Amino acid sequence: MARHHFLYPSTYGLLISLVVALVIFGLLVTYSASFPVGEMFHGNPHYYIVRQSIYAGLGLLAMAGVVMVGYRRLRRLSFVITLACVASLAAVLVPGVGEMRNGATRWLSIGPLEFQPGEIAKVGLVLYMSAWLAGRRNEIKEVGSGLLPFALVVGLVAGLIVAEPDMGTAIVVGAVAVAMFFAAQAPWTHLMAVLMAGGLASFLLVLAQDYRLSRIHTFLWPDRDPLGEGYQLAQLLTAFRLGGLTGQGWGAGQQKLGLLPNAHTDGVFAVVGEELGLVGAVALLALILILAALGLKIALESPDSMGRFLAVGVSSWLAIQTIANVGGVTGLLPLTGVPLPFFSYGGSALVSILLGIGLLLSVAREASKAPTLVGGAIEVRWGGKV
Amino acid sequence: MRGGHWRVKLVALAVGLAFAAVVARLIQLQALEHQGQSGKGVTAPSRPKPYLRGSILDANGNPLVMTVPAFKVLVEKRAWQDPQRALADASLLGQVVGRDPLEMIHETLASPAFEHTVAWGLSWQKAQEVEALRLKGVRLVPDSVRFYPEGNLASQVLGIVGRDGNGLSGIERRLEDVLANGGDVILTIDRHLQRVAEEALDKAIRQHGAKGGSVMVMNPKTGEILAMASRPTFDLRSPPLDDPSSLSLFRNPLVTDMYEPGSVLKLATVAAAIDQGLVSPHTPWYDRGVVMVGGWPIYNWDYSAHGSRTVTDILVQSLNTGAVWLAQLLGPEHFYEYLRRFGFGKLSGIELDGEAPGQVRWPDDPHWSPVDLATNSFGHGLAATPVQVTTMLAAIANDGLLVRPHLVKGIVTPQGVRWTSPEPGERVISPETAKAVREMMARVQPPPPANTLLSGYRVGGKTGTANVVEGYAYKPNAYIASFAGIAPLEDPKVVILVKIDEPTTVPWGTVVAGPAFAEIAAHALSYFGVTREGKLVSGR
Repeated sequence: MARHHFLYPSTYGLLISLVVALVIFGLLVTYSASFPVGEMFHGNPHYYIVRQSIYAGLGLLAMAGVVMVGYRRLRRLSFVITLACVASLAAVLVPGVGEMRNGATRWLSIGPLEFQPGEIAKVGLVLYMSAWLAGRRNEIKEVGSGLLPFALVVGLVAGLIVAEPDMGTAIVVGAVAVAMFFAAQAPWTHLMAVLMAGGLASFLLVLAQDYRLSRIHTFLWPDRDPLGEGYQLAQLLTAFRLGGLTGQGWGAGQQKLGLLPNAHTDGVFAVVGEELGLVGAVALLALILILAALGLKIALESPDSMGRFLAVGVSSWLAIQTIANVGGVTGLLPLTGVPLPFFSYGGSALVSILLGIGLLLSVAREASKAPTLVGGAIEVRWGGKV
Repeated sequence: MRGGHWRVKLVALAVGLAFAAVVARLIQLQALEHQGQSGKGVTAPSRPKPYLRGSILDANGNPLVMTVPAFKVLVEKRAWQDPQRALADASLLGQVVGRDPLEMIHETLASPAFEHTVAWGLSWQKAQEVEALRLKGVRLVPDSVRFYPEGNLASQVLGIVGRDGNGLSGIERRLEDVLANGGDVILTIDRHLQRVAEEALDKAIRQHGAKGGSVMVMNPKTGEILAMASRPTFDLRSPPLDDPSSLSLFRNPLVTDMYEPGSVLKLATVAAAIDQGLVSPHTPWYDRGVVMVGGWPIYNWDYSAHGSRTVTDILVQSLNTGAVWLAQLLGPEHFYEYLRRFGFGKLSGIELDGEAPGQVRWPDDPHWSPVDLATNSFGHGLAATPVQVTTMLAAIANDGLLVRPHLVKGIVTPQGVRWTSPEPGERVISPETAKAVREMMARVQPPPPANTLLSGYRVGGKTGTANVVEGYAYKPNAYIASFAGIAPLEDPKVVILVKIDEPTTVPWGTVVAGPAFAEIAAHALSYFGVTREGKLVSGR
């Protein structure tokens, strides 16, 4: 690896510092947002922060593991990994196997291990999709060898997630896959077809369920029913408005004290807005944006196409999920209940995004080893077509 | 592979634009729509309150209630988990905030929340003392408290607010939207007359050992209520919120409670008969002391026959038999038409919650009988609120035009002042009839020595004594004595109703309620600058 002056760190070094900063920032925010709910439901204000810290530790270890193994070796396992993801997603739906919470079956328990297959599937799908896309260069442009298998795999994974039901995660997974498909030179007509199919499916799913329709209502007319349908959004917006420029101070927010539903999970960005103000909220977004931008820079510098697709996948995953959450809680998009990467409480989501970052780091590491000008040669060196 | 690069850059552009959109939205929410400092730390569950609650002012802009900043004390449940420390800390805190330490500990530990409010409405000085204790898990939060510069004046009109700052009764509740958003309410109440009226009421109740009473002073030309009070009442500064049996004290009985108005209603009967041209004040009539209606005898209050009398005597001596005669002359159709026009049996529209419309059995009611006409003529067998009776009196004082009684003079918001627009009023009787009735009332005066307060003024009134209705029957030996008066009779400035519930001395309106009328009227007339005729002469 090329050596860099500490003032001009490598992309790789910058990435690691950013991720560590985000994890620490995330833990501080989780602590503030979760202590009231911890005290209320578990009699222990540290209930959530202790768990989240453990998940963060595990996630960082997993991230390091992925970097050490390297994405190229994982490429061979990508099919198996995806198969495991699909299997666990299907298992969740089997009555008695999946664990139901808040009206949705999203959890799977294996021994002492409890996780959300929907979250892990994101990293699985990104890995598989990049391997698959890298494996077919011009075939991508054909309907039979490109569009159709793509739609089948993404449709299967997203469909299983929707069935939990977790439409928000399904939309994120679908959007990430489309971004990768786009980066892989898929024809515009195919992309339009995929987007239209996804849009139509979403429309039908919204019509099919009252609670989804009510979120659309709230989105379109946020002030109509602030004590009923619109309660959550009204409280979220109030939190931001209370925060102002510099916020009430870390830990001093009032909305999380029973007024703001899901303050430590979906609503965590509103807690940031109330406590750290516009300055804190924008800083948070800037950190994530820089991370995503670095990811896309890595995509451009990647020595091979799998690395590029991986980097595009992880970066767009980070960006899309952030926008879905932040857009929802600020009333720019309908609320979906998608976690904010690094900040929402939840082990699966944190470990999953850290695994994704691990893949990104591994691409950055490869990129810093080899010159990027002769991408084609490297393709050949690494076996070219699979 | 170069071809893939611009697509990746396009993804980067899309991501950048999306983040920019969110940042723009955040600037809108947090910089432009930022809720001010007063919202800091205190938020209502359903509706954030960015403003200090508005004030309620009297007719001249003097504050009757206003919000002042204060502090409340919150205790973290965990901090008081250890009994020894809890006791030590709570004792120190209790000395400052004036609460029982054990009670505070019990409440805090029993609270479902992780933090509990143990004291509120603390002044800045008290808050400093709490701060100085440096107790762990105890914190101060900005709060506000309603302050009453006039003390417990007009308690039932103003009403109370709860600990969350929401109006619960009276004007506080009725005009919640205005007050909660920082607007001020200007009442028609005049703090000076209100105090005079309340003191006169208290004095009458005390002197006659009465159970309670009500008083109302109104400007007959505008319908503005200048003073309004009832007893018993509560203390605004420490409302008995924890005592369910005291809840009835929060009502305004002048508006919510009905009573049989008794002989005061003869004003309407006499006015109707004159207005219809059936009689004049001097029309002769022979009183036999009893009149039979539908097989029932109706007597005068003194069970006596008074012989040759005039219509004026019917009013002045309050002869029931005479009122029955007038009502029968009118016939049910006309008699009830006048009752309706005087505002009986329907809501007056005053700005207070829980108004009672009163009860009148109209002739189209299948249970109505001629006995109703007879008893109604002298104010029995029907129920009205004191506000309705005062409104009737005001119509006579206002040359026959009835105006809606009201309490709100104006509303002050950042957009400006919105004054209650004056109404032309509705004609009930002709100006001549009104004048004639007022002249008849001139012969009913408060008793000596109270009447000397009014020397040099021409005032008049009408007394009433009615039975107290309890359940479906009259309560034995319990009466309501009232005096309804106009001052002065020419160009009236005020109409006053004084109603004393269950006096234990005598039941007569003149004796029990008349002196209070005299005191209030004398104050009001000098307050409004009405000159005394006699004084001017004797002064020379």
